[in-house]
Amino acid sequence: MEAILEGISLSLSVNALFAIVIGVVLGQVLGSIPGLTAAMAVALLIPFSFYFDPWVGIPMMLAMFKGSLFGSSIPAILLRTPGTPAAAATVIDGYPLAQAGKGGKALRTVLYASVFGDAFSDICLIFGSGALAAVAIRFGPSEYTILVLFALMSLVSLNRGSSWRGVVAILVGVLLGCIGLDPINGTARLTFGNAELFDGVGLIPMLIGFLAISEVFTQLEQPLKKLGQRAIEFSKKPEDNRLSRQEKRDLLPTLLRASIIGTITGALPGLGSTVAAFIAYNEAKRTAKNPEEFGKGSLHGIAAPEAANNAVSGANLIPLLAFGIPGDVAAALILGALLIQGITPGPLAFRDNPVPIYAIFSAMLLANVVNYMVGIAYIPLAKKMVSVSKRLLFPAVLVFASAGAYAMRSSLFDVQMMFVFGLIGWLMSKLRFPTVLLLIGFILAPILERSARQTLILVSATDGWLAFVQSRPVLMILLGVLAFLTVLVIRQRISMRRHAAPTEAQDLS
Amino acid sequence: MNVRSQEIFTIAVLLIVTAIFGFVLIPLGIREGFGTDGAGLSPRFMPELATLGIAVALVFGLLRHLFVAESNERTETVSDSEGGHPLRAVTIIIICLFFSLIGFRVAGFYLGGVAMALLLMLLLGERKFLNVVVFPILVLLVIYVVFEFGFQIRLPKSGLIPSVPI
Repeated sequence: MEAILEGISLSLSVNALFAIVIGVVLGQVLGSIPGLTAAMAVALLIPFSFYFDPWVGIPMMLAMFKGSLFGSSIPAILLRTPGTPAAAATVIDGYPLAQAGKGGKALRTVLYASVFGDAFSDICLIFGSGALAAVAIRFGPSEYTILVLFALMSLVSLNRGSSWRGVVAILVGVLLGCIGLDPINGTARLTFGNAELFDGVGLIPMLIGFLAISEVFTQLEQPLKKLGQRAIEFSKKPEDNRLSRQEKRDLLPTLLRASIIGTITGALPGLGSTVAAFIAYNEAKRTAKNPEEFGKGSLHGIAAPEAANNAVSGANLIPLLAFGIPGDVAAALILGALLIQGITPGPLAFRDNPVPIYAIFSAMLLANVVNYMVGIAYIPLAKKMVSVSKRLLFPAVLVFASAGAYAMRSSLFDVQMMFVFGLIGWLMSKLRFPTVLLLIGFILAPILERSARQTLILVSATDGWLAFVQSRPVLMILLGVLAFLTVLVIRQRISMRRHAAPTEAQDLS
Repeated sequence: MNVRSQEIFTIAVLLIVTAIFGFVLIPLGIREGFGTDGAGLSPRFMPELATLGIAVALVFGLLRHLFVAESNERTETVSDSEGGHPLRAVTIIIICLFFSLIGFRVAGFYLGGVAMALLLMLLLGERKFLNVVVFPILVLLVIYVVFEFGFQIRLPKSGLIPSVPI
């Protein structure tokens, strides 16, 4: 108890509070710049954190990470330019809502969902770090393979258009994910001698290219008169710019489900917030009273992925704090910063020196409150930032995106790739192929390939498939869940087609 | 060409591209060799599997258009195919690719960025002198402050005039 109080008092010092506010503000502003990810924001602060006292540097970094997650959803909603891959799911409903003049409402929903998901996972982190990490640590490559297949299946069922288009988009993403050195034996694949491709295609150029640049190209097809108008109009009605109490209440079940999905996914190292966001979106759609509203600006469609991807950020620290294993890039960066400050996370830290751990917990909870308050103040400013004419905004976005794509690897090749992907994305949208599915296929490809190939190597060392599956109870459970969900998805698509039939008949008449 | 024929034509073209990728580019781009025997799988395994999957999905799409009523597709085509000016978009894509390939390398990111923004704004019909001149400089000034001072990231400098620090 004494250690808990000491930890809380550390995070409540004036310096720590000031650091949290600065961290949140920096995170929100940096996150809202297209192309700058949460991981990048944390990475940029690490060298500075060394010069601060540990209880200034660490809270600032944690707060910055939380702020950047909310910030990255601002361009996702207002410009269809997610700052992180995870925010891509938010685009599906956030952007149509903003297009309808309700950008203020969409941003408030994001903020509410982000803080809810974040706080939920932080509480889970505090109370269940040991137990959840113990389950996650039992996952081997075969379990990861099943989880990725589950995620891919969720995505195909998520696609509103033809399922074959969804499958093609995902597999093209997988193909792009195969470019670079082979993960098992290091053979160069589809690089054609280009050394810049040995590390694979950069995620940031791909993300900006497919989502932002292709959208700009599409918008630039509009008549010149239309381009002179503002990029996005905000309704002046107060109800279009805030969330009512009733709406907040209605969102609660969705937020809770999404936060649970995010927390569980976050506790599994490597899966990341993107997978959680899409699974949560799909689950929200599946359980919604009005699933037809999804993709057209549903508040539940915005809240679910946001709560889930923010819940991942807290849960990612479960394996980090309990076992010293970082769950994703940002957690790895936080681990680096903790080590710089002389704090070694792991089971021994809980027993021998728990004060810093409790200080981290308390700083995280506090950062959520600050994130909400700063977010409320930042939304009107963010709205003003994008309320400029498209003629001015789009050239600025293209130049800014070029700088963002260059920054990650200091490579002009990445800028070129970004524009090439923009061109491909533009062509794909003309042919009605879902670009978001391609991106997810790309993100999941390395995990899927590595896990599948490692599984095959493991199987070859045992007495066949059956013996292998029987020796892994977690895998058996996951296979059962996957089989159940496959049946569910097939049934869902058949019923969707049946429901669609009368409508089409009406259309034809 | 009606919607159905367009779809069939698109799928046929994509099938040809997939075949070229599978039969020409994968064998050319991935050498079988070290570490490809034994228990592990070939490095070509995943790309070939994905290509095969694409081909199967395209054939499924083709069969659906050939033998199933076109009603399902009809609803999908309405929203996206609004008329526009694709030529302008293509021109802008070419300008962007030009700057990323040559412009930024030769003129540096800052000068190249100002030129690119200015050119795009003129192409998009912006004629207000103050906007055309001041806005690109303002954007690049923000980028300069954020990247050079904030992040200590050095964007490409001009190769034309080495004495100019940007």
